Amino acid sequence: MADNKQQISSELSRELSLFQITMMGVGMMIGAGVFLGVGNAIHHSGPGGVILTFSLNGLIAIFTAMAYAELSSAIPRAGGAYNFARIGFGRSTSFVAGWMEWFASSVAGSAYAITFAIYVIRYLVGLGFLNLPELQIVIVEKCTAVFIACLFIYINYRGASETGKIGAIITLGQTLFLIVIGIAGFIVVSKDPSRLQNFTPFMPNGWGKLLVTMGFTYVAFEGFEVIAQAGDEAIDPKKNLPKAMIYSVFIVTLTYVGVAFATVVSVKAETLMVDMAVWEWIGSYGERGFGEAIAHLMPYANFLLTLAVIFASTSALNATIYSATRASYALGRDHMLPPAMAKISKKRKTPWVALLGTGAIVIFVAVFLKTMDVASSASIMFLFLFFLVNICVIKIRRNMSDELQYGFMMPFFPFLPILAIIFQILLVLNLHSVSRTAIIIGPSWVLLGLIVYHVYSKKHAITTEDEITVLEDEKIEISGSETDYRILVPVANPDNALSLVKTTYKISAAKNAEVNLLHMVKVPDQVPLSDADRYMLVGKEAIVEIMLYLAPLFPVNTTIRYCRNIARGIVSAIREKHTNMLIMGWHGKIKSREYSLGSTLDPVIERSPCDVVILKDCGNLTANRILVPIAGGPNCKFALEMAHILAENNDSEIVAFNVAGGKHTIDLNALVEHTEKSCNIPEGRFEIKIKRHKDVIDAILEEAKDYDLVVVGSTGQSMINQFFNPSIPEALADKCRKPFVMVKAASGIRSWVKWWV
Amino acid sequence: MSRDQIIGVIILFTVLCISTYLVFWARHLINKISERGADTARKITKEING
Repeated sequence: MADNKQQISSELSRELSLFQITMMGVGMMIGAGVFLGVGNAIHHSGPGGVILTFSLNGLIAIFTAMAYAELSSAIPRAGGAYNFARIGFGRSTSFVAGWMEWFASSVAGSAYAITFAIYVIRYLVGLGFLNLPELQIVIVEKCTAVFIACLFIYINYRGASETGKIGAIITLGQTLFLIVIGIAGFIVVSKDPSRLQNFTPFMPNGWGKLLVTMGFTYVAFEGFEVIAQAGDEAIDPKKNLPKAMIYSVFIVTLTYVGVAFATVVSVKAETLMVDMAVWEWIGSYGERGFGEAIAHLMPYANFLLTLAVIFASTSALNATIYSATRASYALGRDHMLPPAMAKISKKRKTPWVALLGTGAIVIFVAVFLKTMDVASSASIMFLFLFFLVNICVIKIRRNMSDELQYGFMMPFFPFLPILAIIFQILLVLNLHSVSRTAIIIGPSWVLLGLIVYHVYSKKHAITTEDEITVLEDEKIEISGSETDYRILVPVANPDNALSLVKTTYKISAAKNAEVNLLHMVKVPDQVPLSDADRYMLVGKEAIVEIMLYLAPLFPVNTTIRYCRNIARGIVSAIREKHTNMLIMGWHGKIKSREYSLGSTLDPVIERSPCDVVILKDCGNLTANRILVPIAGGPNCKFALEMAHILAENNDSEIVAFNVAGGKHTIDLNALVEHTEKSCNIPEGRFEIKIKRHKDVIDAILEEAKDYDLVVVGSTGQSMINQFFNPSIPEALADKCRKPFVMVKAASGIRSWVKWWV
Repeated sequence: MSRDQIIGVIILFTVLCISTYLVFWARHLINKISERGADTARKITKEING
């Protein structure tokens, strides 16, 4: 992706760890299938059938996950099935894959919206807030589903989304809740083994029904597509993508089997006031059966279950909406659908037409189809998609394996993909007995896609760049210049870029450093990272402005880096480029009380493993008098060193200033002497001044009036501590009206510990 | 235990064993390929498969 004419390279910011992408997959799977599917599966195939349904589906899903894992390890780019089909079969099949993926994700989104509505309304009815007849309850559920779908379509339009870590934590929470349910099931059985009688009869409706229930619950295993989509964002994708796919399916399979077991044994037959077996009673509630059964299992189960459903269904709904939007956006971008589908909102930077199309499908399906039809339609569409991927894995291994570098190859090839294909065909064929609508809708959508392709896409599709050349992963080249010290300067705005130049110049000269200019381009979740060049114009301008000044003086590397989260992107760039110092500008405005300096600077300061220098109003800096407030914190030595570097000349006055009466008493003389010796600064460079005052901040602000620059060491407090108890350096940064520099020294092993935690 | 229950337990046990084996096998293979370089993927796969 290097652009030689501009001498600016661009790269993708890989921020998602194995844990995060595994949790992404798990979160997508535990969204609706288990909550809607367990009750209906018990209704159709009985208490034994529900457990075998989820375990056998898990095995078939592992076969398909292995196909996805092999292809993703060889082709670690965003695009999933759309990309695999293009490389394996060409344009027409890739269109069908993208077309199916759009519909499958959208319908899965409808299923999540319905799950949310059913469980929230059920909880409100249980509390006595809603006392309506069955028909009106259904209408209220549909309205709630439409409301939540609209809300998340709007959130996606705004471009907001959960960050990787928060999303992973929410998913971990809901998974743990389901695991707790499973464990509770085993505990109640160990205390009261008579509950195992609930498994008699084991398969009351015969073994044939197993394929039916496996068909409509298969939607509960559709998370690896979203992992494949994260190919551009994952750290070490060749290794982590296949692992995440296989782990996520295995985790949910064990969880589902445990949950299904707990559901069956949750109720004691004797406690039921009705004349029917436990499985019949649970099954009679259909999609609500899981909730009704679990409510008997443990205290507060109703409340906790509703909470888990709210988190699970909304995070999965959000993920499916942006996943479906990406699929339709890609079709529009490649002119396989009208190019309007790839239009980006000027204000919000999100693909609003693709989002509207996705929203229309989500709402239409949620309103007009019955719950079982929605689940079955989603299942059937994913079965078609996985069927295609299993064929792709065979075709690509046979025809192109010599050209590709695999990070994983599935065993027992080609028997496993063939077995998966046979099972998937069987599941589709058996779905007709629960949902004829799904059997009509699924193939009709594929047929419609083929018509659209032959009538429109074939004539209009554009040739996209390098379909095979993208397979090589980009390596970050560390410049081979003679300097060992690297400074990273993220620039955001062409108007403010020049204010960083003078200070960067001084520090680079003092450290004999190589300068890396970096512009982070934030790309919304709804757009693949590989399309990020549509967002990079402003960053290019800013970088070119700075290069004009610095490039003749120092070795300067310039990079535009695409990311989902700017702070995470900067921290990962620091590590990849082996940076020694980070220099950033700060506009001086605090927009939210949650942050000391801002939503980007705070996490960057806390997580950076290198020295950090934050500049405020340092554009035309002439530092003849520098004030360095010292309170004995971890960064005061580095603050003195930076003051020496930033001083206009050797005669400039640098004052180490301490306010006595504050919390700490320090030996200022010893500190100054130690700094002078360890940093090779001439003896007597710093003057010492001590002032008595009740309020440290007021004393420093008053003293600062006579100086050109204030340099202060950052606090050692974490972001959370600062939220409750703002620190002096951050308060000074806000109130000081003089040019201001805040510094934080690299904290070695502590930073690495923080990173891993 | 009824005949259906015995068959059900056998199926469940077999499925869980196969799944676990496949997951650990895949993990082992991915780590091996990652250590020895991607170009040897086919060779390593054959070695592990015996």
